[in-house]
Amino acid sequence: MRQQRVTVVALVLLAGLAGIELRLMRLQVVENDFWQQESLRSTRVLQTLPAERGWLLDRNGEPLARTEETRDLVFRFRDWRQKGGAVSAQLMSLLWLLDGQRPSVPEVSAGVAALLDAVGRITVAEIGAVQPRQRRADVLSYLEWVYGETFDTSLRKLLKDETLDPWVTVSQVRGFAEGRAAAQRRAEEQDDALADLGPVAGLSRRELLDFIDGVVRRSDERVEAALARETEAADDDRPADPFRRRRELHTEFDADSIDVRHEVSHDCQTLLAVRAGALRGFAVRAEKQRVYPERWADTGALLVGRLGAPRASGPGGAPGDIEKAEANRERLAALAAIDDPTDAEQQEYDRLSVLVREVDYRATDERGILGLESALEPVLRGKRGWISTLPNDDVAESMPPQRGLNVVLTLDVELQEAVERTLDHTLERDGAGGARGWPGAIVLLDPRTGEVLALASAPRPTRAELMTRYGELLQDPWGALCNRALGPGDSGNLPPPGSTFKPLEALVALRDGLISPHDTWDCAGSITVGGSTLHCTGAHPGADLREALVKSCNVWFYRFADKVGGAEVLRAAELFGYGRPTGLLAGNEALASLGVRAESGLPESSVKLDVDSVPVGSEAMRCGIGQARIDDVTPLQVAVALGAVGHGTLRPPQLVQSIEGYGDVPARTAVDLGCTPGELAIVRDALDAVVDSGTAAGLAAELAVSAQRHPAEQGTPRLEPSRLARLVAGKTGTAQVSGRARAGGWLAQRYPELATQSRDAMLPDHSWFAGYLPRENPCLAFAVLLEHTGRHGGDACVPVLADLLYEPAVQRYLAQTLSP
Amino acid sequence: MSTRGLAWSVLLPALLLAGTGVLFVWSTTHASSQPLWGRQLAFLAAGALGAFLIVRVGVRRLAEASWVIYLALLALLAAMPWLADRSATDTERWIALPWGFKLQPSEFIKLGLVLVLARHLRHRGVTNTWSSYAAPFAFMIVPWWFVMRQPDLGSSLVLVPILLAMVTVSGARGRHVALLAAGSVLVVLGAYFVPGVLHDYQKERIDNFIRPIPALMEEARDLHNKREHAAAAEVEAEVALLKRGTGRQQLYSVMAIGSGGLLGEGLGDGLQNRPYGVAVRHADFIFAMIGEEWGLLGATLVVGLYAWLVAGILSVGWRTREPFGRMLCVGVAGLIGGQALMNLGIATGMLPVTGLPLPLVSYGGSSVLATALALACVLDVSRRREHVFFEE
Repeated sequence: MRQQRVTVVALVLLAGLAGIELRLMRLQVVENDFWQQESLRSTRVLQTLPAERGWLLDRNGEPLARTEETRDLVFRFRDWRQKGGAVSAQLMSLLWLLDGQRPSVPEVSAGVAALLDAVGRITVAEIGAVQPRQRRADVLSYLEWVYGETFDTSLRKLLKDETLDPWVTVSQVRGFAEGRAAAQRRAEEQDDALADLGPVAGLSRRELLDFIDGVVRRSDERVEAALARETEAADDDRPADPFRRRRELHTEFDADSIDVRHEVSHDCQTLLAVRAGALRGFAVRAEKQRVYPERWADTGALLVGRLGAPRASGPGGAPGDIEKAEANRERLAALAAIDDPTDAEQQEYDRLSVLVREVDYRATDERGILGLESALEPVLRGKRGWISTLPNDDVAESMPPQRGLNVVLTLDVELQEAVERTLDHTLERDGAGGARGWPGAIVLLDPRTGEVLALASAPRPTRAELMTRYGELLQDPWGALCNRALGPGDSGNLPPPGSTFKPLEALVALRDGLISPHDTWDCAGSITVGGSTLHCTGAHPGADLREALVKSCNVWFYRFADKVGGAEVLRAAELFGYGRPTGLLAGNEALASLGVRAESGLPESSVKLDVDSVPVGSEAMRCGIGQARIDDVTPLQVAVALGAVGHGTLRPPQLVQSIEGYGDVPARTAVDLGCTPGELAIVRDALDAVVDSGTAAGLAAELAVSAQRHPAEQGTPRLEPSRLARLVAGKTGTAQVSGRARAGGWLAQRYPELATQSRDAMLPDHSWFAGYLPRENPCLAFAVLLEHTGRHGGDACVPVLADLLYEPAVQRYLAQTLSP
Repeated sequence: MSTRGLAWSVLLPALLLAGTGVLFVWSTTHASSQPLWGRQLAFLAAGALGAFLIVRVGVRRLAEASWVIYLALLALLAAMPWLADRSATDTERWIALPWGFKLQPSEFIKLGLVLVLARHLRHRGVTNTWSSYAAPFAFMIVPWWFVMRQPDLGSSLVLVPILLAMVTVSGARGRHVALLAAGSVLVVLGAYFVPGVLHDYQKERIDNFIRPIPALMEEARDLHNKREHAAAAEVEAEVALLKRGTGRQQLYSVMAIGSGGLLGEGLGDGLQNRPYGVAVRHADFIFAMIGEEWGLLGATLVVGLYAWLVAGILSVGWRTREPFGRMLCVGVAGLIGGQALMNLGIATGMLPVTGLPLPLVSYGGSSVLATALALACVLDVSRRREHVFFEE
């Protein structure tokens, strides 16, 4: 009976082993391929190689944004105190282990000799009694690191001797004197090295010590805070060992590299290489960084933009960068798991594997979040590379990173600087009673090519503000992050073109034969249409087209609109590109033809022109003076349109001149205005007269003032004010806006009486001056906008243009383009 | 001492297993700062010496002293909270010895339990009344409790197959054994649900077992092939969560074994034989390395050697007419066979992870020594099987 039972036990055990054998066959034969792949995959370490971001350059090759290798000085507490580290650090750790003291780093550093002796006065028995064991082991390690191996061996031997005299001190241990002397020498050498490091790192020795002290204290605080949190959260069934945990936390936190100083010199790196032994704990970390060269850092800062963290959410609630990357990764993993992929799945896999490894954003990546850095992100960014290594550091596979492409802009940074300075003046000069002046924008472009030379908005952030106070700027009451040359200010509404629209509609009506230059309408200062009275700037009896443009007669254009009809007015707006984005970057067909896709970031605003119905009656008449449906334009659009009148063909604006590897960006499709030279001459003549004797007649006097203010530059021939005035043609505008001052916005601050209004009302008018120069074959088109000045365009904006024209950079540009 | 009556079918597989163990301790540690194969050889030498002493002393005297041995070991276990060396881990498993050696009493209590059960059951057996199960069960459950609290769930669980094997042979009814086995499983499961008995990490391991990672990965793969990617993603999220815990150890073990194929990657050449590869690959997960480096062939060899060893031990028990010797053999077979089965089951992903050495193969002094002593008892029984040497 019992013998048989033995067989039962044998059978059960053997059956179990047979089960194991079956399992082995399954794993090692049936599933072998799968596990082999998994095993291989688990050993690969994928390291990414960041791509260098492309540069942004102005039309003359001046870099506006560069990628540079910068060297940062970093400090690691753990390296500093461990084997081969600083004697003072080791003594400090000893004190902490022996009696929990943490004297400051400068104190310890000054008292190394005294401390070396003080440790000698401790008895060996005391060291043997340190509890728990780990703490004693650590004490022994630090003693070894400070006093050397001979001392350590003797000490450990003594500790095992149970008959040891309890009064034997550490200083009596064999090897102490030599070890102490060596430690003292080492400490002095380290101190010297630290004193040398100071100057090359731009910090004094004392500052360095204070910095280290700060790191040590922060590490202690972090450890204590973490410990307190854990104690609070712990279930009490596991025996707590605070020393062990504290030690673990220190090991973890002390390993962090803390930045001591950014962008240290090459000398600093050399010093650290030469004296690495004496400066353990310090290191130089080289990184590729985006640099905005100091000379032009503030110039066009808003236009150039900045980098930031990947976007949490895309435009219009689309998934954010990281979310998208995550989704791609998941999808890729799913596709990879399919054993028999279809062709479509294989293609998707191939596409996604490139995206995931080389393109998709990681949480630690930077990307453009504003301005051109954001808009040109796909071009500037490049592609990540990667190296996949095996456990033995052999490279399994790799892909080098693809550098981002350099982009040359049409912008002339000197002109940009001049324009920005002019707008800054405006803010200061018009700042009555302590309040600042008016926000505004200026656009300069070459009407022959559409190349944008300068594009500025005021107020503007400095580079430093953009980098360090970005969050605050987003809330700025003046809308410092609004690029008013391309979009609305802080109010969120685009300005109407006002009277700057008049030459455009006149030209189109002439072209279509709907009016003749000799059509005259009497203006008595106002006109009543359907019960409402529309006003003019004055009385203009018997005005013809020229007179109406020169004096900017509203009544003439009311009647004009009435005669040609609302449809014709809208046609003019459409022809000159109003009511749709100019396609400066996004929607730019020339860039698209190169396969370059622009992202948002330099948003160009536009309000779609409502052409579904034809405006009639008073609405049509108000359209005639650049209001009502023609209510939303940008300074860029106005500069393009007036430039087109001067040039005879509309050249859509272009901001990118060339892209590395793609070459020059081809010219954009020009828009033929369909006008005869004669028709153009009629309108141009009127625009000349605007400056000579019309609403902008103040220009000559203002230029004289400006010429006084801007001293002549050596070597650049200057145009006399009277001569220069006769080169400029343009049209002023005074745009009426109604609405309410945004609470907390600049308008409510500037005009306190507007802050209290409860209903929409007329707000102070916007002022415009737009045109071109020279009058024959213009090479420069301009648009100047100042928001809510409440003044006529001629009064508010003409001085601004005069100020700008005597900026040396503008004079240089004119001299260069006019001389041949 | 002659070799007459020496049970070669016990000694040979044991030596071959020990040799394999030394080879793989070499394979897994020769590149590290602490090559351990020399120490393992020393442990084996110590085991041989201990075995020699046992054979000299004779099982008979051990039988007489079984109560003393059992109670002394129990006292040692009870005193572990005060004796244990906590410098390496926060547990009460080891007593520090000079020269960095450590003693693990839980390894020896297994043999102690075999001795005391053999003595208790040698004549009396179980009469299939509930009260007759009480004493054997108590002998098992007391050390089980102490060991489990160390905490060392693995070593404590090995006591169960010992009891089951010995009770079976002592005449328990089949369904009683089944009940006892089911009861033991229930105790473990109960411990899972009673708060404070099992540590979180132990619960996590049981969770891992209920939904083992390899099975989950397979499930995800199937779902992907059915183009049910969303459902697969959920399973994969679960895998990711499990991998962060102890599930990683088992996954890597299974991965290593599975990647070994038929012939393996060669001794010392395993891809997962590296830091951050298979955890404790020189000890509890040494079979993963055997599977990876020697493939199905080597793994089958080891499984076969255990089958040979267990069969050898039981055949000694089968042939002997002496009841104590028979019970002893059955207990040792339960010990070695049960522990090997559990270790292999863990390594191949069939059982939840718990720390347990592979007898004779895994690195570890206490385990090697205790196993050698247990085998020595069997050898002594086989030498004297013609004699009735124990009377009361």
